[in-house]
This record gives sequence, structure tokens and C-alpha cells, in this order.
Amino acid sequence: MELKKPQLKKISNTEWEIPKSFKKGMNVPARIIGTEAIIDSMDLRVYEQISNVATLPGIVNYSFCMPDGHSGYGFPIGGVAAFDPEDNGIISPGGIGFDINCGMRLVKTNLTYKEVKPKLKELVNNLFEKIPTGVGRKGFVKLNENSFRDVVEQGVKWCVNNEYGWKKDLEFIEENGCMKGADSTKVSDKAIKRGFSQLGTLGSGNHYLEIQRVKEKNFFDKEIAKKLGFFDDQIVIMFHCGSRGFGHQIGTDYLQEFLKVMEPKYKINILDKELACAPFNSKEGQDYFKAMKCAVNMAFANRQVILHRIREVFSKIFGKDAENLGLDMTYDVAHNIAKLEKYKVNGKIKELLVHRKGATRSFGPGIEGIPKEHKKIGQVVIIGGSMETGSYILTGTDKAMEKTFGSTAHGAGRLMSRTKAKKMFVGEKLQKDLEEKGIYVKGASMKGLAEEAGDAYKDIHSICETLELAGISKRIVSLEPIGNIKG
Amino acid sequence: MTYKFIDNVTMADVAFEAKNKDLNKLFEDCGLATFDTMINLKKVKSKIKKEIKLQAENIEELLFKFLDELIFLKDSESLVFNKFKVKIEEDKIFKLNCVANGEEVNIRRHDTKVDVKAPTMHKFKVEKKNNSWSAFVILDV
Repeated sequence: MELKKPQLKKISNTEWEIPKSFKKGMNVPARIIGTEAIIDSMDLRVYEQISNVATLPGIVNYSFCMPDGHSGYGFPIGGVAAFDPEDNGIISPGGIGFDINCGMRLVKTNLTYKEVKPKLKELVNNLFEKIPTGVGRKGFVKLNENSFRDVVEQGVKWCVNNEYGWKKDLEFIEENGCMKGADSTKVSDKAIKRGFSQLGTLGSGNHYLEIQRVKEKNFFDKEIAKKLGFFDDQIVIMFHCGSRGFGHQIGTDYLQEFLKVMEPKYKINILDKELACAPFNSKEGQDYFKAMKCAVNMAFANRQVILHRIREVFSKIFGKDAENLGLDMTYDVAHNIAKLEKYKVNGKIKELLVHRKGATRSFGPGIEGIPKEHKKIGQVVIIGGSMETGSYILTGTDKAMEKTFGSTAHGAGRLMSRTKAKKMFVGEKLQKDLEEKGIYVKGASMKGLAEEAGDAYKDIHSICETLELAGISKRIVSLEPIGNIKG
Repeated sequence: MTYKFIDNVTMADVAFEAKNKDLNKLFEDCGLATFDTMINLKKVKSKIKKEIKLQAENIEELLFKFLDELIFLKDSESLVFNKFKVKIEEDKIFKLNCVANGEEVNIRRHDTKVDVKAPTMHKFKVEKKNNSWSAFVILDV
């Protein structure tokens, strides 16, 4: 089937609308956030997928696509949609992604580039050795199926109680590292068996751990940057991973379950099987929500034990304990998740189920649920770029609360398919070129590395500029990569 | 080998198409394509034999369950495979018996590529046309 670009209605320089008339069954229009240049470069399947989302029951206002959006299955990556549980609103695993609570974490140090540069290779090699990456790897935390159930119900609290973290880490994680109401009896044995040996593994694909350099010239808001603890020539660590096979299996299990009940029991018709869903207020919907929370907690715990490893490695290499090296959390935020949040709809405050698939929460100042220390500046948003181009720290805004259900972009967004990237780039050459630019990369897979080449992604700088133009996030600082481990 | 990876279907995931006159071999090809996404098949040694038994109400569900099971074994037992012997029987429901040959993954020796998270239902299809079977699968990676 040939795809057509719909006639987009220009709402503003950064908002474009697909009207309800575009497709039969759309309950609301779809809106894409992006400058004209970004819209022009979007793949056509995004329009198809975001308008399919608009047909789902109980959707409120608009189905959104963020500027880093690209086609996925079911929802596009970069998709945001809120559903009203009181108006038959649904929950859909395809609106969250198989990698539940895939997310970003940023950790500070008090080290400078000058101090780290001579030890960079040793540091990256040690991190690569200590944090398992790639296909089928097992983690270093020895658990059995029962203790793993504790992990997924308690999240980072379990890690802190078992000496894989500091109490103060909890404050700087979305949901304080544990989504309440996680119930492991709603998770299949298969998911438990698939996940219990993977705590502390990075995964592969676009998952990575990066050592980055702060430069004062890259501060967009000096005052807030300093308040968040950034200083010129500082070294920080950013990493990106999720709930591993555990979350993937929960997604797979419930997708199948929803496909069985959706039409016969709930009379919901969908345009793509990956949009399988159930009413949020139904047994199936609630079961999935409780299982999803287990995967959310597993991912927070996964990132926490990886932080523990990072602290051990830095401590060993620099001969100081992690506290003295200032290895404190900046923030940890999810970008594949569904959450109940309150928004004003037609003048009334309503509790909605917000799906974010490849989209980050972007709560403005003063909103409940952000760390006390960040209350005045807004929630920290972490947007990872490709391994060549750098990443961004932004903050949430009031406008995001009004416009996009407190949501913003999550990364650079792919511009080129994996198959094409593999044809265009060679992992070994890329690694060498990056080293010449001062970026030391160690990967589990050379082919995997080629798929993640900077040119396979959209320009992170224009994505983040767009977020600020649209008003849904505010740029604080951009960070430059100097070392990277990849799955 | 009668599968090929297809570009221009999905931006961040992996799509493949398999074609075979024999349904058993079609399933074997889909198993190979799934592991070809993750590792260099030529580097895998046949050290471990794993028996898989599954049943489903229709052929699409059977293939989905088969791929799901292979991905499960990759994570739960760290196994990768490069040889499959599949036998499917139809007796009101579809029953699959498979012997898979492979070994534990070794990232230094297997030229690992990208990890597969799940088979997706997006455009998922198994059909018989003109006496030949075909399957279309998108894997989330």
C-alpha cells in the first residue's frame, strides 16, 4: 500500500495537525510537534500510525508525536496519548513498547576532563568488563525467582536495602524508583524466568553507557545548570537501558491476552494488531497495569545496580571512594511507560492514563512528583543523542502540562533504518574515526555499532531547539561524549 | 536459506520474509532468521540439543509462539541456535515438535549483532499461496 502524506494543518511554527477527517474512526485529531524541516523529514508511516492511535477509545484531546518521532509498530516511537478511564479509556502495551521503562539516568562526578583523560581507556574497558552488554548476557546480581519477585515489587528500595545504592539516590528517580501497586502474581513464570538473571545488564541495540564532558560554553541556562551541579570541564555519566527480557516478555504476554478479549469481550476494533488494548477499568487492563509496574520497577532497579557498578569502577581507578568522587544522581527518567496523571480537560481536573512510547515526562515547576530540590526549576529531562553528537539536559515546563500531557521527546530519533545503516557504515571504521575525534568506544558488536552511527539519527540539536521553540522543555546544557560502551 | 531481511518497513526494528514449499522448513527458516539477527550463525557450534513442544489454534499463533519460545530460551538459558528440525502436525489444533541445536552465547566468539526483544504482531503473517508458504515477521530489537 502506498502511503500518502496527509494535508497537515499548521497550528503554529512547531505544531501540525492531522484532522479527524483524515481517517475513518479517528476520535480526535493527531498533532505532531516539529519545525517545518523536521516535519518534512518524518517518515510517512508516522502519520499512518499516529492517526491509528487517534481511533482508540477514550483518547483525550489529541494523539501526539514528538519531534524525534519515527515509525514503530502500533504507536510510533515518540507517541504520546492520554485516555480517560471514565470514558472507556484503554491501556495498550503497544503504547508503551516492549521495553517497559526504557529510560535514561545521569550521574555526576567532581572529576574534570583533565583528570579523566589519561585514564579514559582504562575506565571504559573496566566498565565494559563489569557491566554485561549484548545478546543473552547474565547480570552480576545473584537472585533466585523468589528474590527477583521482591526486586520487581520494591524497585530501587530493594537495591538500597541490599547495598546497591545510597538512600539519597531514591529522591532523584521518577516515582522514587518504585511504582506503587506492582503485583508479581500478574506476571507469567516465563517473564520471571527470562528476567531474574538479567539484573545489571545493559542490553544491546541503542542501549549504551557514556562518559560525557560538560563545557560551560554549552550552558543554555547558566543559573539552573549550576544549581543542578554542573561546572566547566566536569565529567558526567549517562546511560540508557530498560527492563530487559522481563519487560519484553510482559509486553508479549499481554499483547496476546488483549488480542483474545478485545473484540469478543469489549467490542473494540483496531487498525493494527500492535494496538491491542483493553479498557483500563477491566480485569485485563488492571492486570497488565500491575504487571507493567513490575517491569517499571525492574528497570529502575537495573539502572540502580548498574550505577553501583559504575561507582565501584570509578572508585577503583581513581583510588577514592564514590562519595568523595561526588558520584551523585542528577536524575533517572523513563521514556516507555503509562501513568495516571491529573490534567485539566475542558475546565475540569481529570485523572488520565498517559502513554509515553519514546517520550519523556516533562513536568513543569511546582508539580507533584518531582524531587524537592528541582521543584522550582521543573523536572529534569534527559535526552540522549547518538554516540557522536552528544546529549541534552532540559527541564519540564508549564506549557508541556497544558499542551502535551507533560511530555517531551526522548532522543534524536532514527532517520535511517538499521539495515540501511549497516550497509552505509562499518563498525570498525566508525570506531577508529570516533577515536580520532576523542571518543573512545567499546562495543559488544561491530555490526551493532554500525547501526548506531551518528548519521543514522536526526540532528539532536535541532530536536532540542524545537522542544524549546514549542515550549514543552527548556534547554539547560548539552553534553559531549568522550567514552562509550555499547551493547 | 530461504529468508531475506526487508528494508523500508520499519525504522528501528528488523523485518524479514521467509518462503518455502514445506511448512516445517518455513518455521525452521524463521528460527534461523531470528538468530541471524542476533549472531553470526556460522560461528555457532552444535553442543546443546533443545526440544521444543508447542501447540496453537492456528498456524500464525503457532509461529508466534515458536519465535517467542526461541527468544525466551536465549534470555533464560543464554542459548543461541543455528539448526532446527521442525515437525508440525494438524489434528484439530496445530502441534509443533522441534529439536534445536546450538550452544550458550559467547560474545567474543559469536560475532553478536543486535538483541531481539520480541516478535511483534505488526503485519505478522503466515499464508499459503500457489502451493507455497510464506511468512512476514517484524522483530523488535
